[in-house]
Amino acid sequence: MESAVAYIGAKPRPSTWTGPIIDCDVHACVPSINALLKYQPPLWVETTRERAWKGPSTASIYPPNAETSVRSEWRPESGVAASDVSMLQKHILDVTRSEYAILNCYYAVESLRHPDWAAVLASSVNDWLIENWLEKDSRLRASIVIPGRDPLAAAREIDRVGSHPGFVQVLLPVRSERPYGHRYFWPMFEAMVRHDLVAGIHWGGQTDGAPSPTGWASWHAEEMAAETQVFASQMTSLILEGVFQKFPQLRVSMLEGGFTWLPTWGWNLNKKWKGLRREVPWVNRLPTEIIRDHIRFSAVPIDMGPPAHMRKIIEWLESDDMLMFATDYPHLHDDDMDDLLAVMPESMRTNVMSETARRWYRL
Amino acid sequence: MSSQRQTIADDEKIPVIDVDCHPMPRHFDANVKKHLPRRWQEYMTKYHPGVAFSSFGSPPQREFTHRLDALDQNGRVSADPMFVKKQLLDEYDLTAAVLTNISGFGITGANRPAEMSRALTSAFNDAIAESWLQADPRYYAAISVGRDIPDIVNEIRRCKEGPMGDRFVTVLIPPSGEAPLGKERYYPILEACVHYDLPLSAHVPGTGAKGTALGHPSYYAEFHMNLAAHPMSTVPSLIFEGTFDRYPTLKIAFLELGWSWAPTVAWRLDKVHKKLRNEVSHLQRKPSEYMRDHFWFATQPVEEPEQVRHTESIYQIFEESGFADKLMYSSDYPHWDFDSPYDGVAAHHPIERRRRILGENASKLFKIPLKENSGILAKAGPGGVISPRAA
Repeated sequence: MESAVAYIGAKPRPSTWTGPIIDCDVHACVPSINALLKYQPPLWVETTRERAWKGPSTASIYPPNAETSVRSEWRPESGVAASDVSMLQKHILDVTRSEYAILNCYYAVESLRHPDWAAVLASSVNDWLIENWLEKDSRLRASIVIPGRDPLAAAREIDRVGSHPGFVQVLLPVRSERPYGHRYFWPMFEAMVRHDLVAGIHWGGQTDGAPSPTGWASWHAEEMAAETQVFASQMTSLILEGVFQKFPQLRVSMLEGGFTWLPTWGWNLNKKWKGLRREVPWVNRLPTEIIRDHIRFSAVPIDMGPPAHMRKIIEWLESDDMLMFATDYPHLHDDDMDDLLAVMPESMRTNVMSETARRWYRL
Repeated sequence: MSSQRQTIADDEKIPVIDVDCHPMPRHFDANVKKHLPRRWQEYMTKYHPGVAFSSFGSPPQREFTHRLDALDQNGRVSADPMFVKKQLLDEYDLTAAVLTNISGFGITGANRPAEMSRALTSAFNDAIAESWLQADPRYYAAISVGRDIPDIVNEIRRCKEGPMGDRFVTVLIPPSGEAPLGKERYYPILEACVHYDLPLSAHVPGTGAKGTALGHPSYYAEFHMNLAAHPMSTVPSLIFEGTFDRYPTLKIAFLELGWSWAPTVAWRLDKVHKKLRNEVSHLQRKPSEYMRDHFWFATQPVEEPEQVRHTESIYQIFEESGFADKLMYSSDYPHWDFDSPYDGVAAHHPIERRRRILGENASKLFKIPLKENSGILAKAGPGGVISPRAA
């Protein structure tokens, strides 16, 4: 079989991988608020124009000019990177020959606190995704964008578009104003289960205050390096609040949060459960078993250590069905997927590159 | 491992230093009150001292989060140095126990008058010096301070230059406060540590606005789990702020904040640095190199991988990543998740590793000489039992 192009470090090169590929995380970026207005009721179109609002800003999450936000060869001469399906086709789909790619459009909807306006904004992003992406390329699947500060409105939006065959997931920015395990969010998870959709927890969003227990980072590098703790806290909340007992069919993906932190965090969580489980009696088995049944991780950023050590980390996962390949287009990661594949047992490679995602997203 | 010595004599001992033993004085205890101006004694009786830890979510599993046999006849836990001497120092024939008073660093000065907060901090440190350090020469102590109390650096100076100065071997702060530890506001504390060549220890719980990035936990188990999140944002802060170029001799010790995460965090820091080196162009070295040289860790709670066969690889990766001389035994006495030296670094580990972790690493960091022919029997297994097979 023909080899795919691997995107690593400074420049792309042919990958040694020749099997099937499913890319579980690529991004669609809204080029401008104007692209969404045709999907919005007149009140909000007028309000947007009167206030000359340019739409929510994702600039602090993905600073547009930072090295990490867009690989240099994917930066358009003008306009917004990854804002048109033709860019994605040219840069990714046609060269990595992915069977499927799952679109995540992070648009910082949660930064708009007006509840009705945020709901309209989320709906318009979903309609824009359907018309301009899902209907343009049959390889694409997408995540539903929701107004995250209003779980009931989020559930309504999931019900509105959840039966569209292109949507396989609901995008939950990893930073939320409270942990996703809280009962407050359960109507949202109930809607996901109703439509057999995955909950995709992904880099982005807004916490109430600083995005760490220790305060605001000074540097973007600092913030990025520290982000794994937010994923870990979300996972902990989902498990301890009993979300997976309440919704036994629920599947959760952790996207763009890495995975090397998972085994030691999981052991620690097992230990807390052993010592303290009487206060969370609904958690009826080891947290790591719950994780293996209900949670998958995108393999990026790989945060690769020495191969011998990475081999152990993979063994510590105690599963060959846990990680999913992603390019994370258009972001830059220093990820050599071939190196990661090389430290995995043969049986795991096909799973990581395609089959885990195929089963998880029912593709 | 084959090169390491495996024969162990019947009477061979491993000297032990416990880097995390909690005395639990309260603000109303006579030995604390006597150091407080009358005004603040009366103030606290009426208005409470305003200890301000991040929320636990739910009450801990026991009143003092203690192990049951640590309750003394007065219904207190770790209030009597002689009781603790018997249950810890003598029981395991310790070279030393470093006293880490949690109440001391829980005073933030944020919700009470700063002057009172400073007075209470001093009263706690004085009570530790008087009641504990004088009770047994094997007790050493941390100068326990709230990291956000204005001018708290004076307390470090006062303790170090006081009569028990040599027995204060570290400065102890919570792992979260009003800002990440690398920020300029904390330079005075870092400078004082460098000046007195004291490691800066961070111990749970935090005094930040919330116990997780996402807000407050619902459960004590969730609170306890998220303590492990604190170093994941503290290490990037200290490293990317350039702290260790500014203070090349500064040493940071994480107590009860885990250690097995260190190699993977180092890899992530290096990867992020490689991509964003333009942003942090002030760094002189790779993040993993700063990490390897400037951070120490404590064992408790002992790592329990899902499969016992993975235990060795946790230590192996940690040691091969350059942290072999950075891990120190801690008991967390008198808490429910206490690890004895037999359990914290069990007998199946190579003897050299056990010696390093149980005593040698802490001896070097805190400059406490190990007592020869003291400690635990090298042949004893879990719980201190010598099994017929091992013997």
